[in-house]
Amino acid sequence: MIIIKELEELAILVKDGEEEESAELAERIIVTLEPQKIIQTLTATMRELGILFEKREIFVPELLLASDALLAVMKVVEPHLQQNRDQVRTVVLGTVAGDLHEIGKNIVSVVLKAEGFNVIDLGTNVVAHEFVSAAVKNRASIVGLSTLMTTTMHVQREVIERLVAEKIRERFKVIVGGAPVSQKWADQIGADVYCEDAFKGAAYINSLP
Amino acid sequence: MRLAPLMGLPGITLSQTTLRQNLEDPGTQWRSLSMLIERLEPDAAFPMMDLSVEAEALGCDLIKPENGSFCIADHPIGCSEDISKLRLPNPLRDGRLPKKLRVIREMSRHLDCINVAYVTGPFTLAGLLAGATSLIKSVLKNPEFVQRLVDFSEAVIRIYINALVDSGADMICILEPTAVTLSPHQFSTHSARPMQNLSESCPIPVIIHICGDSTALIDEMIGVNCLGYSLDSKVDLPVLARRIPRDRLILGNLDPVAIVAYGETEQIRLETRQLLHNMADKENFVLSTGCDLPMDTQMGNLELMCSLARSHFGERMARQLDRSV
Repeated sequence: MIIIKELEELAILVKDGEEEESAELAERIIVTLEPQKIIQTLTATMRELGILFEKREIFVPELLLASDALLAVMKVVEPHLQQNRDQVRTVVLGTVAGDLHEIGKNIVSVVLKAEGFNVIDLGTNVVAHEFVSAAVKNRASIVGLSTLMTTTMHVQREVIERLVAEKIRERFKVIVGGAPVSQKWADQIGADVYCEDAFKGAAYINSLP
Repeated sequence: MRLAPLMGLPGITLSQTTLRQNLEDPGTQWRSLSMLIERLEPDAAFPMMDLSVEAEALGCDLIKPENGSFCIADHPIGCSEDISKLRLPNPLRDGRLPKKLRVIREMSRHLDCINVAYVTGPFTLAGLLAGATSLIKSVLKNPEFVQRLVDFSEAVIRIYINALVDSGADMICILEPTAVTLSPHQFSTHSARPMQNLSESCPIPVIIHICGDSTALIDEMIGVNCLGYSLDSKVDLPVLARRIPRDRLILGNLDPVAIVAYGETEQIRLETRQLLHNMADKENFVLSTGCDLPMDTQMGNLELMCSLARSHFGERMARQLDRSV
């Protein structure tokens, strides 16, 4: 019962974006608790936040603070995880070259980590060949391409063209996202899907066989 | 005003120049714009969208790719004390502000249509100065800091607006993309309030543009007393239009990328006609794109969109004349 109470408390702290307190509580409970239990709590918490975000009951500021708290807990938990990372789906993620916007991409990164995926976050201003080589090197199955500007959207197309040119396109599901991006654009450039937010991205990956 | 696509960048293809040349040299930008405007004859003309110009004038370093938008390389404001170190810019001297003013002067001197000047919105400029992620978190953690920085940004924008008015701008378009991340209450405090102040003090009409899905913010946007609202392709324009007063313009909202820039001819025809049809009962509707058009927009697509709009509004005017006779 005490364990359940502490996990509930952790969920509330993460939702409230209490970064330090979340990490402190995680430090305390990791001693007696399986790390997977904590990860499950984080996954459930982020899904709950996703529902609230979709219902417009919370907004990006609340999501960013919750993401910080979640990452702080992950930092505590990760060294205790025994999971074989080879069995986990790997996602290579980044904001495309010429674009330094990171908010959406960072939220995607956190949500996918909370779902238990292995996330290789390449950061911002990432050129096409970096996406491709990181995806190959890390044996990823998903490539996520973010952009917030109409002037840099063409880089999403370049990444896909490069995958095609290297004859490895079928190895990856390519997800595109960002304010000016749409499913029509995804169809035009040959991406697998457009996801309008992090939670839809996570749901899409979870739906894959 | 019936037809006002947010276009500037496609002029680069016509002048066979680079984006960097256009953003750094007012003569080049004017040449690109004039070729585009002459070809498409919109009712309102916009310069090239450039959200870095005010921040640069305040001392931010930029990354300037040859054919990409200029980006802020560093965000100098980390706390309230840093704001005290900032100085209001002189638009006739600082950064590329004088170059932007020259583009507006050329537009004003040579164009018959409405000459619109862009400014960066107060919350967005604050985000460039402090870093957007940091500023958005501060909305909850340190709202006093956000308010102080937004107030400073408002003062910067007011100075720039006055210079744009002196240079011959007919209308100001406030670009406030970062504010789309906020809740209605947060938006009201940190974006709508300073935009209302700017609109009130501006001697020429103001429109506001918010990128992305601004559906949740529409009531707060309407609370900003201005000439009109430019909405992105992510919103359901006919639905939102019902909430916008008839004395305000509604600009929007064809998808600038998947439809206008790179869509098939039939797609453009279908989507443009559909939007015109869905907004047919709105006298205050102005056909536009949801956001800035990319540089390599298919010129034939833009021409088709404009010609469909002209014939639609022309026919409507003819019908109204018939009825009045």
